[in-house]
Amino acid sequence: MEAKKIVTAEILSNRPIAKGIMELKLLAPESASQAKPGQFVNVYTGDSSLLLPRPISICDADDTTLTLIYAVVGKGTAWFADCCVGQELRVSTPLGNGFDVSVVREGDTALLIGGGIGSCPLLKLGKVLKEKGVKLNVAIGFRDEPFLEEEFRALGANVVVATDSGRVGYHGTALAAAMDAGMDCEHWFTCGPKIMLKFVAKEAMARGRDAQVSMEERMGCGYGACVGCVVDVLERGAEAPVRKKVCKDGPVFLGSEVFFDEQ
Amino acid sequence: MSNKLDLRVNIAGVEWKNPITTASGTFSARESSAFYDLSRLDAVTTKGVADVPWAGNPTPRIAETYGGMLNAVGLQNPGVEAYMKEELPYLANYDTNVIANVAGHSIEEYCAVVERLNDTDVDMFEINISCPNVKQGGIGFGTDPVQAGLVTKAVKAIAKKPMIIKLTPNVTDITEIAKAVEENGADAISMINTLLGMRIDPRRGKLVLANKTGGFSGPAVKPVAVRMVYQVRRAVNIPIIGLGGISTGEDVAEFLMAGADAVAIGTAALVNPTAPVDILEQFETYMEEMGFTTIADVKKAFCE
Repeated sequence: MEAKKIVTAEILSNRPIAKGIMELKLLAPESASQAKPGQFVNVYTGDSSLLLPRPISICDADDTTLTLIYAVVGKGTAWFADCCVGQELRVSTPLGNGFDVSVVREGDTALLIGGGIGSCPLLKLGKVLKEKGVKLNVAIGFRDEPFLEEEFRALGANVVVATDSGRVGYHGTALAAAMDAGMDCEHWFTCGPKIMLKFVAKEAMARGRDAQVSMEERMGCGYGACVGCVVDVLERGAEAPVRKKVCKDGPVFLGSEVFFDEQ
Repeated sequence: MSNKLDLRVNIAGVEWKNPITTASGTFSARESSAFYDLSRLDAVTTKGVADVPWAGNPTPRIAETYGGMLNAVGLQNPGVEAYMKEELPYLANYDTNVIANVAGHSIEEYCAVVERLNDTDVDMFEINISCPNVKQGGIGFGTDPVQAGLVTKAVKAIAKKPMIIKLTPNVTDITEIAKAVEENGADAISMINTLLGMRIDPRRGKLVLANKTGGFSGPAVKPVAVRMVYQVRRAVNIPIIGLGGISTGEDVAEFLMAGADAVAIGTAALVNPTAPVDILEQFETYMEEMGFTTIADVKKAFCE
């Protein structure tokens, strides 16, 4: 088993890219070089009253640099937003399993559907798929203000943008935008709010596909010890659903296997 | 580590090479060993295991609090058969004692697990009569001296390994429960389990945890735990494994001085996976700096 650890990373940049959305670049070779699409890292605040690490999905990574995009939603992310270039942050090596790209072959088509901040891990995925010679369709949805559109376009992907408000792009959900644009592909990948994942998984199945869905759940430790984040999964061939750890067994699961309406 | 230090302790007849174990519910053999060599700890305490698989509570199960956290996992576990097939053989690769934390809704369920584990490599049992997140049993046994005594007596009658009883702080007088379990045959006590807590999201006007309440742990609870260990030390003679918010080497010393014979690292390991070994190293440094060579030296240095 690969040894996991917590490393000290240097902040290369930390800037707003949309309202309440920040892009953080970290010099963290040990974390960055191992990163696979769909994995996440635990990032630690320097405020000891904020005990738990913040799990943030890996938006992009090369041999030395991790790019993380986070929404400022609470005290921990507000603490990150105040961090300056050159400051050090503690960050874990990559956690979780990420998307399974081994099922995709050269010349295949792939549809990536992202909801808000959930669009971020799809960027690294898009890069990996592009390298494999996969034709990419991308649908990303936001409340009001899109981000990452240019980055996806730079991959040569067909991109549609949707907003709930209708201010930019398609007025509606990313899924509806993708279907209206005739973007159905052999492989479906998605990340975003649970309700969106449920509808994407359903739609994929209706079309004879199986989406890889990256689940979001409130985490404690992020490495599988506390069993705080769980999802009910019925694996193919199994008789009864089992409760899987989102952080350790996921965060990516097959849409056909996830029980979205449990609990 | 200096060769001069002798960190050995004896807990209910089991020799520990150092006084640090993991706290149940915050340790998982495979997951934790991805970060550190389990052999460095004296003992690992595994997650509560019941006679059959338990699904645990709905999510969200975790909430952060100031200097602490709430959890309402509800003792999700794969059951004793899976534990024997998966967890124990994996732990056999490491030079560490194994403390099996045992969960149940009834005396019969506790006994069923202990009976099943009696002839395994488990070194000690920790009977969890104090989980605040399980409706029947669990904390029900831990808050009543008579019930606590009954479950202790029943398990003791069949247990082939030393038996630790894990106590809840959610009682008026913890010394009453401690005395009841000692009188009924407990070989040691571990304390404290989590404090019952709750959080409401004021922006959404909703409870944060699906289970409504959860167990409060982390550095914020440490003074409560230290006070309770101090009180129980003066009420019983059996060894105490102290826990509750330990995050540094000096925290370990604080518990030993309060009357604990060993300690467990819980929430700190969720925050930082290598906390149990980091804290052990810090504790060794503390002992060297203080000129202590044995655990008895640390305890003796406390005077009121």
